[in-house]
Amino acid sequence: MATTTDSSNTSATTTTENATSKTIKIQSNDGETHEIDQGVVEQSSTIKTLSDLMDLGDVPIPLPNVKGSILTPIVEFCNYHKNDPKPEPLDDDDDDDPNKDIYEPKRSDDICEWDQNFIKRFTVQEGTLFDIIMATVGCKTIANMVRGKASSEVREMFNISYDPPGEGLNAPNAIESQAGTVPTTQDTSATGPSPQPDPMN
Amino acid sequence: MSISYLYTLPIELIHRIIDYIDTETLFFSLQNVCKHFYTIVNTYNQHQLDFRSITKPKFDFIHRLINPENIISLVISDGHRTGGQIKLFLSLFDLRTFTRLRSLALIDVTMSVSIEYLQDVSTDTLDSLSIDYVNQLGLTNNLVSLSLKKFINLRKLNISKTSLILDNIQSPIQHMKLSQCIINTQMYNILLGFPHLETLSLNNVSIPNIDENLTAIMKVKSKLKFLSIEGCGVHMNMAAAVLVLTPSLVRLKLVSWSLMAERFWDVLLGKAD
Repeated sequence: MATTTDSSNTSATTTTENATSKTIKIQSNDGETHEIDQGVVEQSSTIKTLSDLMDLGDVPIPLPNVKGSILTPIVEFCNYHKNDPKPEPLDDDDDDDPNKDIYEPKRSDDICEWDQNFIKRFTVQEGTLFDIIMATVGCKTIANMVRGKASSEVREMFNISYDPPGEGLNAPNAIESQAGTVPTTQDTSATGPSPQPDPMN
Repeated sequence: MSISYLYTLPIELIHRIIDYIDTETLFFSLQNVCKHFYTIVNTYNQHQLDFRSITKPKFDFIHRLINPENIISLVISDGHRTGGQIKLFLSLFDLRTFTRLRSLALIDVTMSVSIEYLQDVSTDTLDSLSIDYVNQLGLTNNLVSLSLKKFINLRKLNISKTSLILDNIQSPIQHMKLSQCIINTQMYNILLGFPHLETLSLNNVSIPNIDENLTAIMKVKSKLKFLSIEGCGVHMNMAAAVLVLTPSLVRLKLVSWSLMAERFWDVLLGKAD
């Protein structure tokens, strides 16, 4: 059943406020239609490309990979974030914070409160977290869920059946159980001719 | 439920997830989950390896999986839990094969070993270098200045616990942090030698006092936006003089300063006007 939702109620920019703002319609694979403004369009390379290429008038752009139940929160997310500063490039070349640990890994604990509450609506069990991942902070959330977990916990968390990735070295838990039992000097050239107690253990 | 939605994600998105996963979780958990993830981790080419807390058995395991061409960031440490790691790594790898390395950090390294590293690291790709020396304050370090001439694309530099010579340098570095260092060079020479410097952090750094007569005639076009000075190794009137030389400065952070000279406030308030 097709439903039409006017998602511009949270938008700061509407056609009445800004005559130059163009709105387009997008449609989920189950027929749900949303009218979105240019601020939202700019956040989706797919929609932007399609809207640039096609002048569809009132005909909605079809999004065959997106369900209506996911498209609605995506539009809500984009409306909330449409006035955000443009994201910096993925490389951190222009990071000018001198207090930053320059060799620290990418942060994933910097999800803003609104986004954290937003993402709570989606779960691994229902698969909705993966539906929303394409447009939101899902990558960092998944990384946070995985960090520090054992392989078996990751399999359980994401409903992955055990499929031995390799033999010998890569057998699950094999490495953890080796800790403390592996010779401390596998490469004699690394520690000199006289093996010594190695604090790396 | 019989399917895993994680499988349905395009590989590019899984790579984005891996961007945020630490070295240990990646190689000891995610890679062992299933064949699919094993392949993905193996083909991932943006590895940011941080060995600071990796025990030797795990280090021995990981090093066999590393394809140097897929490493873009490397942190190696001789810290109290990882002693011997820096030399061990050097014995296992030819650093010239790390052709995409953008960031290198050596922690608790000696002067001689750091020389070995820097002579072989790719000069074209490296844009971030961090060296935390195991106290080398007694040794004059011209390695850093030589490296700055060699690494033409270096934009970030973080140096700790050494005695630096920073004369006669023209460097494109934009972000520099010096901690517990003795510097032989006056501040205006640093600003001249690093004309693109936007952030400078001096933490317990000893630096020659500035010649105030020179600040009036120096043609320094500093782009410095952020200056942080912590500790008492910097003379007060030098900080005031630096304010004169840095018209673009928007953030100034002073930590552990007990007294503020009158001239400092005069200059600062004049700058605010």
